[in-house]
Amino acid sequence: MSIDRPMELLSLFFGNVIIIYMVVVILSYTVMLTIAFLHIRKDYQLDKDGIDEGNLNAALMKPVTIIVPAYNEEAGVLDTIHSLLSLRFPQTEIIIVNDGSTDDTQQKLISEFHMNRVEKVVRKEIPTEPIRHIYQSNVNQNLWLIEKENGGKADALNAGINLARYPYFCSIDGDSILNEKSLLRVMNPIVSSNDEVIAVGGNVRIANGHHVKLGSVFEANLSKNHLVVMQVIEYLRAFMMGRISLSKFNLVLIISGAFSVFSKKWVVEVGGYSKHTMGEDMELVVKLHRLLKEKKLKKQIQFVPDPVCWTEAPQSYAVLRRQRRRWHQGLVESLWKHKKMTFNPKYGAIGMISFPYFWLVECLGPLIELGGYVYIIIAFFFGGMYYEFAILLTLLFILYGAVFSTASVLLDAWSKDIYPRTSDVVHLIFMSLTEVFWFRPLTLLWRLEGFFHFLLRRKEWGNMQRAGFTKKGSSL
Amino acid sequence: MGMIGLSIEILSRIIIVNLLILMCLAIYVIILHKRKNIQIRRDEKYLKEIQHGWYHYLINKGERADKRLVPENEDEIRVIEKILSSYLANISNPDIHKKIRSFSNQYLSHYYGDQLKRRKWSARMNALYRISDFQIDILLDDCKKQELKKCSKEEWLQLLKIYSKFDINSCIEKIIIEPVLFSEHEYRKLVLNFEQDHLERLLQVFDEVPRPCQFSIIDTLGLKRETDYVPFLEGLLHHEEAEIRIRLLKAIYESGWIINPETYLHFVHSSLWEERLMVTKLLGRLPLDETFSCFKILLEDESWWVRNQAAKTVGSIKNGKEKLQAFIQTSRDKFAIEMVNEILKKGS
Repeated sequence: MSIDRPMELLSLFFGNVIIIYMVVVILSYTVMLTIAFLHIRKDYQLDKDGIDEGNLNAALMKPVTIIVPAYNEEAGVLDTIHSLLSLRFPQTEIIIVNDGSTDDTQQKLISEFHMNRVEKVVRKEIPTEPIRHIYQSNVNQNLWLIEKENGGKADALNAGINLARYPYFCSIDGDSILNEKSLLRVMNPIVSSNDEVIAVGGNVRIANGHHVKLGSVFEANLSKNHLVVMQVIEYLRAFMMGRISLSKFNLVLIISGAFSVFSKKWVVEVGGYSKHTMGEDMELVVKLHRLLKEKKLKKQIQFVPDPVCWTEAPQSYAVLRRQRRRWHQGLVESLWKHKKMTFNPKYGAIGMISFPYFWLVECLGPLIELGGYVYIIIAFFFGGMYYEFAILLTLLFILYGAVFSTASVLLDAWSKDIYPRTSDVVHLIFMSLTEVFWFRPLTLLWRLEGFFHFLLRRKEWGNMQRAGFTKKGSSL
Repeated sequence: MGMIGLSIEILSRIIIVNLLILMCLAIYVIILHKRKNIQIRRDEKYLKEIQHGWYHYLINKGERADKRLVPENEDEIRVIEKILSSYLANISNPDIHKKIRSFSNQYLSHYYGDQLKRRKWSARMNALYRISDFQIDILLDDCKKQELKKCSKEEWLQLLKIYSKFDINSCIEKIIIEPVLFSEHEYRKLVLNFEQDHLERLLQVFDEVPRPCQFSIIDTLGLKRETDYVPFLEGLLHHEEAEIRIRLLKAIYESGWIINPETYLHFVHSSLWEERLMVTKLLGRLPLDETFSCFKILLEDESWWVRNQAAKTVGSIKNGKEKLQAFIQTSRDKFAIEMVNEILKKGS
């Protein structure tokens, strides 16, 4: 008995920690979901074309450089560039950065867009790996290609920033596709705030299963791959349950690297993208916030729910696992690197709210939640008091997982009509109920793995197998 | 223990209630989705039926709107909105605009008048957009009534846009009173679409309008590239606010016209490098013989940007390179010589 007693206390303690954590998270999710709902309801059925048409006037819009880092993207890069060429926007230039690809990426680009080598002096505001050659398209004078030695995505983006002529740049992954008005809408907060907003992230959605032709989404269909469907739900959830509300109070720490716009001046001032971190997109946003607070500037970083960027999601467990591991490692790295901002009143709400929230929910969350899953399994075997504890925890998990996921899916289906087929909507709703039983624990495990990789300081790039956008179904 | 039992009970209830609510919502969303799909098909069918009629009326000089074109319900109005908007966006022809205006005043104004009274913000906004696009001036008084309600900033901007088309006095009056704080970008959206005589009216009250609006007026005048506005801009060059003066110089540079060169000369000695930079660009528009004495000062300026611009500007004017060569021989300023050499090298 004398040994059992401390064990009992210990397990009670763990049980309580997990339960308190869950209650805190559920409460904050409820608040965020409410804010997201109010925000979406306001714009419901608003005709945004009116704003768009106004912004198409060059006198009202700022020119933007679009930077596309590409490393072995031969499958999707042409679609991406075509989608960028058909954007409705007064003035853009497109810089593709071939980061030492070993496949046919460069050759495909050169022959598709009739690119010629040009001599051009590049002002090195941010140091990068050496540039080998610069090409310019004969078809479109504003389409450039940088061929450089491999240095990773951050390095490629930095090279693009050095060549960029315009005050704002937009970073797009080499496998993503934009709607024709996405850039216009993502720039709207910047121009209408008179440059008070220095960075904006757009909403990223999953395009697997869509019918894409020459860079336009012709028909939106939900993928038949369960793993992809779960990611669709996960993206929606992250967006409803986090970004909309955080953005309202200038608390955003992550805007997706797949599609975001930055003011070049500020990015150069913080030294561009960091090469030595896994999550260069988060790292940049944190650095910008830090600079703003240290200089006591009232600038903002925003997330805009409306402009959509379509991206390809991993379709196999192995690739998804690598991606999640990498994301989580990047997240922890950035939090650790800027740990002094945590609970530091000098950094305002970012230090007092965002950082603690990210530490608790995003970074340590997987550990605690997985602990919860393990606890439930063990407790069922022990019975007695543990049994009730386990039921309580299970219920909290269901509330936390299934209810919020389903609510996000519903909110999205109500406010936007992405999927023309009703059966797709039903499928999404059904799948969102199952998340908590299989997909959630899996991603938690992978994220925990990323956490250990951080502790061991492991460096690796999970390369993704790209299928490229093709006609419906064939990319599966 | 009892606590836990109680919590489990409460939680189970919460979850069941939540799931029930979600199930109802799911059914609602699914029905909505189905209905929308049916509606889209109906809209497409209606569009096919009437698009030729509209083409005939707007393009083929059909005199009066066919009865079939008159919408009978909200769905049909939505389709017509699409048709009219695309004609307005893609064809710029005063006849077509006039026809759309008279049709909308006659057949659509009632609907938009009702929309303005709705509690839903997005419905009111959409109505305001259409009133402005289709020029439904019959609703001007209804719009004015909106002011008395709690108007959002977006609604105010749209109202001012409508006034700028149908009642310029109210528009200018409101800009001066400033019911809400607009940003420069928002004023620019407004001022860019002002007709010429309206713009002139606005210039008369330039001193009374808010600062961001003044900025947007100056920028707009620069974009117009007309000589008419240059005297006005030049007249303001002694303004006490530096930002205004810099914007003026920029606008005059962009307009491409200089009427009184001597007005600018004192900027060469300005304490602000931005002013010196802008005047450097401007002087490039005048004959080099008259301006080179100024350029000599600017080439030796303490700011890198000004020196660089001065060397670039002179280098790009006819005979400028020779003048720069001569300048290197006489100048004692190390930085100036360095800059000029760099520009001369780039040119060759």
